[in-house]
Amino acid sequence: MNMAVDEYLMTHVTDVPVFRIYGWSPPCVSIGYFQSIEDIDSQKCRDDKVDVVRRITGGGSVFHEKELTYSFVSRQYPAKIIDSYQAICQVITSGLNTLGIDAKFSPLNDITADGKKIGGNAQTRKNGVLLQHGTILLEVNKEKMFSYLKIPVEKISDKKIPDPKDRVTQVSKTFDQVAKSLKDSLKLVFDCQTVPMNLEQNEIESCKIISKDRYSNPQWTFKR
Amino acid sequence: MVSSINNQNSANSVSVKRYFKFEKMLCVDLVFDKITNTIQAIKITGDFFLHPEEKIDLIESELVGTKLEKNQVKSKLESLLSGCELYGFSIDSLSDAIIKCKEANSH
Repeated sequence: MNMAVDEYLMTHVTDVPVFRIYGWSPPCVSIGYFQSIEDIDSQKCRDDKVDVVRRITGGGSVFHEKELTYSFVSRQYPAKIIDSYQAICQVITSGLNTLGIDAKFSPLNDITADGKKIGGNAQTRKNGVLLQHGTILLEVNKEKMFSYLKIPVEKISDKKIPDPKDRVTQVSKTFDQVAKSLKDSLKLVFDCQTVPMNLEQNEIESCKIISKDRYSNPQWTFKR
Repeated sequence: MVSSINNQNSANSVSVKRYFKFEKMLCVDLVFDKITNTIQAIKITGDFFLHPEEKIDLIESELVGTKLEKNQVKSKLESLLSGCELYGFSIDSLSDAIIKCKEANSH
């Protein structure tokens, strides 16, 4: 349903951008548009009752459990993709900086602290609308995370890559702490005011249809 | 339910699947005719970004029939990716990876 809401916002946003903050229950593995379903252990996900969803954005697989996810939807954005990642990620890094986390934007699409990844982002643009969503790792159980995400370290033809478990870390803050920091940062970085927004019941029903047609549809999830 | 490209069977078909690490991860799943040296099917997966995203299906279908020579693969990709934005590897790297798949089979 989370991905369905992001897609709904993308197709219904007005000239007023939307910034959304959400979590996941039950836990979920999301995979990027271009990833093979074999890049994750979908059987283990089924066994452990972890949802699997394919995003409409590229990028890598993400285990969503103890983390905060955001999405930003707008009709106004920089023309260059790297510039738009930088602009939106500045909201994230500035917010985390106020919590004492030395968060930095690492192009193209990562947020790092002390050289390790604490968040990833992915973006798509359709019909003049930009959607960028991303995650911030509040707490991470690396063994658990990488039991679902299959990184083919041993299969790389021509290069050694570092163990992905060594590349990630957590911010060790609560959901509410990070959420507040992002809301405050959004106003400062984009010099704007914000208005709370909730979806009406008919909009929720539209999101359920999107979820049924795409994100819960095995033809979409297993398309690659 | 997983779409498979392994149904392109003929006596001359060879299937190869290889992973490559550039800025992003790339997997090339290739079926080619070892006599005519042409692509019969290809799947390009990974954690990269391509805008617009839907272009990947056209790229994979249009590469079918392409001769597995670097210049021809690269030229075809340049044409198909004209107007697109690709992040994670270059067209040159992708072309090299496809050719390496073919060459990996000959070892």
